[in-house]
Amino acid sequence: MRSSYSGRVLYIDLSTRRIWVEILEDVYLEKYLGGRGAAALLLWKLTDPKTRPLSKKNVLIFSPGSLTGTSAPTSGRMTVTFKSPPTGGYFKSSAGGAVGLALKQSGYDHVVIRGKASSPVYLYIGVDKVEIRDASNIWGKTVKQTNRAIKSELENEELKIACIGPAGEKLCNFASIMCSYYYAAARGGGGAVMGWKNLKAIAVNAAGGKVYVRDPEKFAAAAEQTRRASLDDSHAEEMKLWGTAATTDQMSYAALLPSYNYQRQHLESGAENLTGRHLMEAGYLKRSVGCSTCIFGCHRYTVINSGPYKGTYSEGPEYETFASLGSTLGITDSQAILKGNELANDYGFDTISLGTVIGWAIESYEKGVITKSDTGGKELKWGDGETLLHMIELILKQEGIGALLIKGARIAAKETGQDSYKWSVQARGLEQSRVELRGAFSYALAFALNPRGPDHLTTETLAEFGEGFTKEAPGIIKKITGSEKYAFPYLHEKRAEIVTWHEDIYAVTDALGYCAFMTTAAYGLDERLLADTFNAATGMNMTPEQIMEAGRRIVTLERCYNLREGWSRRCDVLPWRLMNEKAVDLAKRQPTPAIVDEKVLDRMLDDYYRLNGWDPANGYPTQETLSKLELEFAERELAERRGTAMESVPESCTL
Amino acid sequence: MSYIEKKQEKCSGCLGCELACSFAHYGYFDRGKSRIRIINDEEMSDIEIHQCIQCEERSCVNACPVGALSINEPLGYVQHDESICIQCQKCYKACQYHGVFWDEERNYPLICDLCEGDPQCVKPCELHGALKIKAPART
Repeated sequence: MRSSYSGRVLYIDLSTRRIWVEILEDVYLEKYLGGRGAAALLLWKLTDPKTRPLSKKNVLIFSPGSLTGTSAPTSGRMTVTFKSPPTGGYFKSSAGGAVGLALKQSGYDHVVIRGKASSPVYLYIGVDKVEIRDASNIWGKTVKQTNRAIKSELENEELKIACIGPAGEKLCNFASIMCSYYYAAARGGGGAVMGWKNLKAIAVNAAGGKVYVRDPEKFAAAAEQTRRASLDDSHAEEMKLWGTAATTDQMSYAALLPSYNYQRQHLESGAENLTGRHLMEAGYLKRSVGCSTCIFGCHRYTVINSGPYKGTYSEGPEYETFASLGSTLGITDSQAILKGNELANDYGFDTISLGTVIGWAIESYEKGVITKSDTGGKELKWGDGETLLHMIELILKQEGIGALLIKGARIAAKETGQDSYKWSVQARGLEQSRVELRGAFSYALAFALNPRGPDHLTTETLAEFGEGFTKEAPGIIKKITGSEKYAFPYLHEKRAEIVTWHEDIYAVTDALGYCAFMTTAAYGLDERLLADTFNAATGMNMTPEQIMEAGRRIVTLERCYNLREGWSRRCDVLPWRLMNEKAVDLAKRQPTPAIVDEKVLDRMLDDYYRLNGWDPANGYPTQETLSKLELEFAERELAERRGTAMESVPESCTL
Repeated sequence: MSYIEKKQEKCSGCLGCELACSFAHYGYFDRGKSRIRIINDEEMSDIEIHQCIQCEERSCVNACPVGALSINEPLGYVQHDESICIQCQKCYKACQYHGVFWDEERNYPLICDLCEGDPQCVKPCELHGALKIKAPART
């Protein structure tokens, strides 16, 4: 029967050069919704606690969503799943662009890569042919150069390519996999896993490929309803007009903008330069760009046509990049940020982590923990574009402190010692994304629980800001908690409910291949439309409640993966600074203690564990919970660990 | 007579139009079946939208040696009669506006038919604003 998801997996073992196809059992769609959910189950089965992230046994799983390839609005995303080098845990990374669409059209729901090539290779995946090709001439090239070289070699400009830059080749712990040039499957070092496998790129030729849906008429109706509801959301127009950096300046006024490595929450001046409005008004914006089947187009393509950085061109910067390479470093020179963004994209660095490690280095220099002998002779200063660009090159060349920074913020602080862990803004080995958690307690709870580490990409609890975010947000909070009064980010009550709903719907969104902005930034795509589009495309017959339960199953399995790795409640923490230092600007302006006190976090965690049937003693889902979610197979592997789970923590969860 | 106005600078490159076109005509998604094509230099973000513009010259209609192409009344699009077509590709080669594509599988031309007056390609483009249905005829 025709469906937008057929469970077709392309396996490639780079060690043996064996290539084969398998069809997954129905459970991968019926219980895990395909995409991210099916990939989580595959990762659970294909790896185990003995699997080192940089080893032949670790896998990279490329998974378009179960609706990717169709015209469902924004359904063109792809999840990359692997065991993460910096965290040692489960990692999923979602990418935009058009590689996911092309993979699905070429006939695959998942591509699983294992082993290690004996010399650099890239993969060619077409409808009729899959090849492992020599990449020795491409190794060392940047992302743009790699795309050009492969398109030229294969004489096909229509190829959609996912590749690594030099960052991935150098096994940087925050190397991204760059898709369609500028769309990062970022965070967690997927690029390092790819680099270790000697895999430079995957080039996909979708020509001749077809994607079907089970019931075209029902699908057309549900997709059209999704489109209408999403465009009717008040946030749609703003996303198109200003992109993700719509409100950076307002965040600064509200003392919610991470600045000076989280020592401040506000820029004295120049925050307006870190906005989408500035990109347009200063003439940098060439085009508003959409990922496959996007109806919003929040992505930016920017160029610099004059001045010292003339000739710079890339996509972005997104809000996170403006905040990481900008306000985190006290930089408001937008040209320097655009240049840094271009370099990060072309080298294949994750911009959030890159800004974090540079922020840590500047503060370490300021405090005398590192000196000019570590920095290539350069004085590191806040607010200095040259510091940013100098440090990017130092990290790329692994010179001086750059040789440490390329390993990420946790290891840099650990190996440098003294008190530098206090300003290393990371937890579980992942650098935190740019959200001021001391003024947003749903975010704080979500970040503590996120199996990736403290970031926003398994939840996006913007709704807790209520009308301060959008007019729809209070209604979302009411739907979750029963009352709009909980749409207030400084409250601790009902955060467990808010986080749980966001985790579940985010998992469904990812699994189907939709953009998270459709469900957790704009709210037009609700539980019913998720189920309707999914059912029409795949032939399933799920209720909105059942699809959200599948989301909970995915979240819980990902949790179990990390528990199997030795994680426990002890890992559910936030970066040291956010739990131990007050957010000074925020405390002056807003009615909040401006700190995520350990006791407060513990109380929110207790609420969350109880709500979801997890044991507060160790953070393990109870046996009953696992049974209810049909995760008995996880219970079998976790049962022995329950009693001793709190006795130790994995290396990545130490400071 | 209506036509689709194109503003290439507003195209986001999302390809929603191509998939909508394929789905509207065949009930499945295949960019190779689309009668609108987005030519995207991803690196430079230079985008061209290729689709029949219902030009004055009607080069494709004139090039057809057997009369398989004609102008639809009242919508004004180029209609294609497969029962007459000899698959010679002369229409495809004659179009100077990149408005005729070749269906490699079925070996027939693909030309925008405005979805008989309700073009599906413009719908995903509502907010991007690169494609808009315009009626009545251009002046």
